[in-house]
Amino acid sequence: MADVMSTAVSGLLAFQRGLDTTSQNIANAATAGYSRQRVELSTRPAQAYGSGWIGSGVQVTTIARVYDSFLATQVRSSASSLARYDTMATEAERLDNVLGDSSSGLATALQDLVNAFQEVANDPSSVTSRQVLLSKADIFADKLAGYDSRMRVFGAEINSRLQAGAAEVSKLADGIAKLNTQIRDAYGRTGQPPNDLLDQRDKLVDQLSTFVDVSVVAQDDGAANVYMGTGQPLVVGNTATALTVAADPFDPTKLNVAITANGATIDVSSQLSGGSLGGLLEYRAQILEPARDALGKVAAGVVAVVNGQHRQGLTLSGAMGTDFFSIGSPTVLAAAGNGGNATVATTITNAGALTGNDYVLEFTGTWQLRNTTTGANVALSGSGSPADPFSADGLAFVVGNTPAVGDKFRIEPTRDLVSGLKLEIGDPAAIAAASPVRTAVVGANTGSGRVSAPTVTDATNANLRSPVTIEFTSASTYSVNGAGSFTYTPGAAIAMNGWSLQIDGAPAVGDRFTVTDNAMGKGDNSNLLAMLAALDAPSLDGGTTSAADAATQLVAKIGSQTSQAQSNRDAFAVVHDQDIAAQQSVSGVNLDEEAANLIMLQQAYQAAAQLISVAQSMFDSLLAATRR
Amino acid sequence: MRTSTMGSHLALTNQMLRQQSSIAKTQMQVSTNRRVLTPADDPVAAGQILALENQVSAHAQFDRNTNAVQTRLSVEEQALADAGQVLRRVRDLTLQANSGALDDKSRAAIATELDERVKEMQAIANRRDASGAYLFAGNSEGSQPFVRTAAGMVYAGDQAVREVQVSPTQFVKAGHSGYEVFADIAQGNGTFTVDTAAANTGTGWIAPVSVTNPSAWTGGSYTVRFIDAANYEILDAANVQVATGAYTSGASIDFNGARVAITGAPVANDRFSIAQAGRQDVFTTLDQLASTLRLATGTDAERAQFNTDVTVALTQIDGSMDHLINVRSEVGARLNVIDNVTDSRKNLEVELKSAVSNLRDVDMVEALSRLALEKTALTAAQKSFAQLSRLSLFDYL
Repeated sequence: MADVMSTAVSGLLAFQRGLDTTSQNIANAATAGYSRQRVELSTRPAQAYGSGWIGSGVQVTTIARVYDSFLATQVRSSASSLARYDTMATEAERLDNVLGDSSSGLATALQDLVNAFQEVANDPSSVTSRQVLLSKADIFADKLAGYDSRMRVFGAEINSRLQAGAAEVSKLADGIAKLNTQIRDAYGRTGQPPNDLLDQRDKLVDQLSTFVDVSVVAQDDGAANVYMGTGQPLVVGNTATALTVAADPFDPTKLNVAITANGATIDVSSQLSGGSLGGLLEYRAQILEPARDALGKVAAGVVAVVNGQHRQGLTLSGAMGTDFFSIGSPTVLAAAGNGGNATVATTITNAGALTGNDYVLEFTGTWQLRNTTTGANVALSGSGSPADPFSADGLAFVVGNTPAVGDKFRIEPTRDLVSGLKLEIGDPAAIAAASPVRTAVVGANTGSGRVSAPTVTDATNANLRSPVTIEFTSASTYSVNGAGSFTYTPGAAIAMNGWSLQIDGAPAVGDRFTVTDNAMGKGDNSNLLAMLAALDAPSLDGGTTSAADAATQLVAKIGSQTSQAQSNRDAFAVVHDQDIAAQQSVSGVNLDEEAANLIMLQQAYQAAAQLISVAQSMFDSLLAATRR
Repeated sequence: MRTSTMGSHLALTNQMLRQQSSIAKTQMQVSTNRRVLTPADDPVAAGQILALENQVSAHAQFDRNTNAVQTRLSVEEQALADAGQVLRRVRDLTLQANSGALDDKSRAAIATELDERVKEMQAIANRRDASGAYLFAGNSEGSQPFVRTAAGMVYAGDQAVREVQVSPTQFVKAGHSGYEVFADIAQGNGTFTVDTAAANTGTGWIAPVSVTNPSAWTGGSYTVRFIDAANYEILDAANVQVATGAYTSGASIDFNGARVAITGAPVANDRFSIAQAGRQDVFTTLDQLASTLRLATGTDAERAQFNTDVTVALTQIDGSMDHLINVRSEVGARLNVIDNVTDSRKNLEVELKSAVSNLRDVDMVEALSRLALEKTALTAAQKSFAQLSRLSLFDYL
């Protein structure tokens, strides 16, 4: 009877724990990160009798949480990837919207500028169309500068988001370290798992995985060590490492992610690949900065063509054309740890050869140039002096003072060009539409010789606009300004004074052709036609891409990068959902299951209680029997 | 597989969220009629759309360019027609003056009318276009091209004419310079010119007849000198005799591929010159004609001089009229080119726009049926959510 009683009581207690746990499960059915708990029951040790072993009831071994660390790792891994691509896609979509709109986009601004040049070419002496050109050119410069400033704002936002993200990561790591301590204590005290603390810690790690990619290594004492990226320790036992931001070694305006260990700050940006921080860093390096580089390259190409041709023309007031646009210069960033006092100045010498990539110029005893986008070394020609600068990929480098071995400079040739893009011409008359010289056949000529319009080859020639008379001294020879005797080949170029022209046909002896100043040629548009042809020609990327193509390519590239990030995001959203479902199918609470358990436990409890009553009546019958 | 209550709730919710976002996108496509809303929707198509739209924009600009050239060429054509009219009137006046019935006084009256015609011609040559630029000044369109000075009419313009782009590959010259229209006119028959020496005393006068063999004409200047009334010799510029012949009035004299005719009765030592033709502007021609008409025709020699000059002038006027017709036909050819270019541009524009539309615009039928399908799916998800969430064992406890 004592056995029945004690067995019944053990059952009552066990089913009570069971009901407690079930009610905890039901209560936490909607708690995020909660793993359902289960009472692990086992039989109490049986007692030996002569007739055999008789059981002595039930005991609660432990209250376990149903948890699969493999599934948890999968959830974190997909959460990390999802956060990474979600961040990239969201940011890229913003850039895509800025650059992509066809009614206000980059390619349209360029075409509008070309159209305005055409309009002036139609009627070069019309001040109205010149005024329109100036305002279109201003809009073009403003639009590009607007894109650039938007992109710089995006860059600044990334800085502050990295800062906030790093702070959040530090806070989470701190929380995990504290929980590690509590969990270790709880284990030590009871030898039983502190399920709710474990859930809390897992929840913090889950949150952490949306910022960086993490891996968790469980320790024997119940603590969990957390590493991020390629193995940078974030939490070891009860110690958390603070994640901070640090200025880029070259560019103090750009923040990177760093950890502080043993008092030293270590840049870990290149080691992070997942989570929103990894996504931000990747977006900045793969999409935003290349987009600014490409925009700068397009701008540099357009400005080089327009300025170059504009300087070869003649304005309405008869002066040589000046620069149409001004543009910024390549950015040179000295590494923070440079030992020497060397300086590097970079200029663009050939916009058509620009790659849009970044470079590092390093002194290793000699100066070495490396393209950081492709990783390839670039051969330098020249000596680096102002008279003979190093030159490579359309750039010239002049180095001064004394470098120390290991000194580095990062060159961003086109990234900041657009911030300096400005229309330089304010006066409509200052648009150089005309050619500086014109040719004419002298009326008294009797031969059939004809002279072409001149082409300017060197606008800086001091004698460019000096009058020249070409007079034929025989059918096959001519003199220039009465001097010399040159052989005449029909259709061959005759070049001097910075211009070139062709005479063909059969000039007669004494026939003259003149080249004179074209200051009166207000209706001449030949310089603009040359400019339009040059703008249309493939002048970028070593003469393979026109400016319009480059603008379109930029938009299409951002579009495809955005689309790629979007489809990755969508794919990982599905993967993440599946991982969560898998985890939930193991750890989640099913209310129907709990209800069934409730009924079973309730019935078992009632049965155990009935046992007590049976034991009672057995005892009572025994008492009644002995009372007589 | 075991499912958890929260898990299935989340799965159903996520499903509905995803369906709602695809409905929102389809709805956006339908309401904007665009399949490609941002370049990310279809990066390849987006690149092509931008390139095509730029082409559409460029062609719209070529359209404006074409209109500008067309206007200018039409104005020029009118001016050329007017100039041709003036020359025809001048020719009539010249023929009238050349009839022997007129006396010096009447001819002087005709000369006075001719002066007016010259002014009219000058006014035509100095015409401006709609924006005030001189039509026939070449590129120096800001200054008056034809100015009368003490030395006669001077062309102050230049010989260049701007080209305007009317298609990606075609350029049309927006007019002609004054030099091309009024000055670049061949003298005489284009090969040689003739003149009767002022010192002649006979009544012989010379007329250019034709070029019989253009390749035999080597240029240079020659003189037909009469040895006596029946014989002549031909001297070159160095006064070396190169040919001789017997003279018959009105018979043609062939020489170096040139054919001239001397009429009347020349006397010994009368000279007639044959020279390489150069260029002569229409104003010089008209001025010379006016002074010819004012010549006295009292003596035989004066008469001969007059005859030669009037014949030469008529040749020159005919040449000028031909020249103007040539220029006009060139203008016509350019307008024709413009018409062709415009036609093909219109076709191309339609093609470009339909290409853009194919790439960018949504297929309405497809989009609407997709929208209907997505709506059905969402409704189903909502209904099943409502029904599933009502299922609970607790309801039966």
